[in-house]
Amino acid sequence: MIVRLWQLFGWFYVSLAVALLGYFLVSKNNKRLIKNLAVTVCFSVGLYYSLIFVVSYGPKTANFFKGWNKVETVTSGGQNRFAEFLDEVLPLSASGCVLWHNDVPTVYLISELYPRHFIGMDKGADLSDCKVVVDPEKHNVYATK
Amino acid sequence: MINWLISLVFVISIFALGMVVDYYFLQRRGFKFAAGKFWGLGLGSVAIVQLVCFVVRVPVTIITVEVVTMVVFLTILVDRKLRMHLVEEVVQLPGKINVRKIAVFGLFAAGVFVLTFSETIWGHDALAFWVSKGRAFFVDSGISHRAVFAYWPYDYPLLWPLVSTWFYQFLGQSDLYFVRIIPFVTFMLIGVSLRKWWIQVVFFVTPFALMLLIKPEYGGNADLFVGFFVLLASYYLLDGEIMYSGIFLGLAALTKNDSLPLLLAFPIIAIIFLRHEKGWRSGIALALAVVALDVGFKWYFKFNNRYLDHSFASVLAARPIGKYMLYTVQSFREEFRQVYRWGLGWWLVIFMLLSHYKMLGSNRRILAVLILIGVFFGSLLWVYYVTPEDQASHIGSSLSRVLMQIYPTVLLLAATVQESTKKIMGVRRVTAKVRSK
Repeated sequence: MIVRLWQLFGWFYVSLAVALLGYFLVSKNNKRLIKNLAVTVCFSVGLYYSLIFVVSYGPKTANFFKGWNKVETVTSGGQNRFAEFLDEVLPLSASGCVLWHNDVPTVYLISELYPRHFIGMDKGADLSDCKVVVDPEKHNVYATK
Repeated sequence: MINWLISLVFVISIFALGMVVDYYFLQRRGFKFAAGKFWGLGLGSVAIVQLVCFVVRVPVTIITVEVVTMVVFLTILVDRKLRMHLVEEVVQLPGKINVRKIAVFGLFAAGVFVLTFSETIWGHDALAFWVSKGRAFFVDSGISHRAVFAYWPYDYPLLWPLVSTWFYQFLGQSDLYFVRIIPFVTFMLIGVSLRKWWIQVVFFVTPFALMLLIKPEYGGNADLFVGFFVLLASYYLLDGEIMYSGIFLGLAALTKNDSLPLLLAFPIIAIIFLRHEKGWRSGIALALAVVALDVGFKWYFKFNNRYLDHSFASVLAARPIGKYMLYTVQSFREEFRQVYRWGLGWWLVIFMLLSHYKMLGSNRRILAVLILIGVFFGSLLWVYYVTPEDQASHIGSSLSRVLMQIYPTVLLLAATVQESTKKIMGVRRVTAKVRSK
């Protein structure tokens, strides 16, 4: 029973209950102290986890100083260059399919190809109805018809 | 460099547009400076201008954007009274600011700026519909049938895509990097709008708030904007300026369907609790106008809704309601204690609200905000029950983001009850001293 309760609530809710109990039991002067302590602890814990996130993110900040073009190329894994190439070679009336590749590159290329009508297709799917097939993984484009 | 300059001019123009709209249409030539309000009204105005352009069949091109911006700047230059108010505000600024706090905030903002602009938007939801719709409207010079039906779900509201379209027109190209300036400013203004410095600090160090802005997979989502608008709505509700609450809840609903229950509940809450407040009728009227706009838009395009187009009888038969609701409640409980996402933010909120429980029922404005928060959680229970997806995976993929829509508001409420109690205690202490004398 205790193990189950601990699983459900853990130190988070237990400490909350203790803090509330303490708050209602102590004198008025000490209530302020508990509130200040709660805010300080809350700030410290938030800061600690934010710093973990920021530090883990740190190496990426080097991109910021390399300029926005570089950032776009790095984040998109070169898909932005591929999209520029597709924009040059495909007429605005083109339509076809983009093979699924980790979701994001596929939806990115579909978006960048607008107003051309392209849809996402699984790699194993029948592509016979696709006039043009774009492969984000190999940065390749080919016509089927 | 030129793109940074254009982005800066865009930001200033949005503030200016919001200020002009507020000055002429809402304050009736009265002036009250509030950066969050101006930014929120500016974002809402560019979306509504584009919706109007669609109705009257006027294309939204760089010329439209330049004309609107020029008119706004010229209005400020020509209107002597408005200009004087603005100058007065700038002159008074040095006396109002605390240099140390501003310096710390500036350092923090600079750090977050570098982190944000170290990557471009690169997330599924943003690229599958949010900013992609914005790009499609940019390519088509305004809202078009083709663009509306290019990305599913078609019924998602268009405020964020339309704001990004406006920005793309400003910039002259659709770009996933510089458009991040909009969520960046919004994030900063959420913090600034939280009134009290200690709760501002708690918000700014909430890991998930930072992640939602900085991480490329979340950076283009609309949740931060909803959080901002709901916060502004609650802020003005607590201030007794009900008209603004109606407007900002309307803008929240024009950003994401998740806020529609709040907008629908608002007139009822206003009638029951806020009838003695200033502008409650205009607040209700404006909220209902947005509901009509939203419904009209969806009706015109014959959109379906994943959560409403259901056979509820079959959902009830297939899913035991008690079990499903309990699962969602358990998910809330579990999510609140994810300290690596929220720090102890939810802990502090629950502590503040429960330790000041008497204050919650004693003030109608506070009670109204509390009910809005309740409606938000109630609507989530409903959505996660009727969802066409698997309940667990739907909750797993969305709950943290959705909670960010209400998180700034609950922080504001926690700060308000704490400060209100402090004021009351102060008044009591003074009264007791006077009596003893």
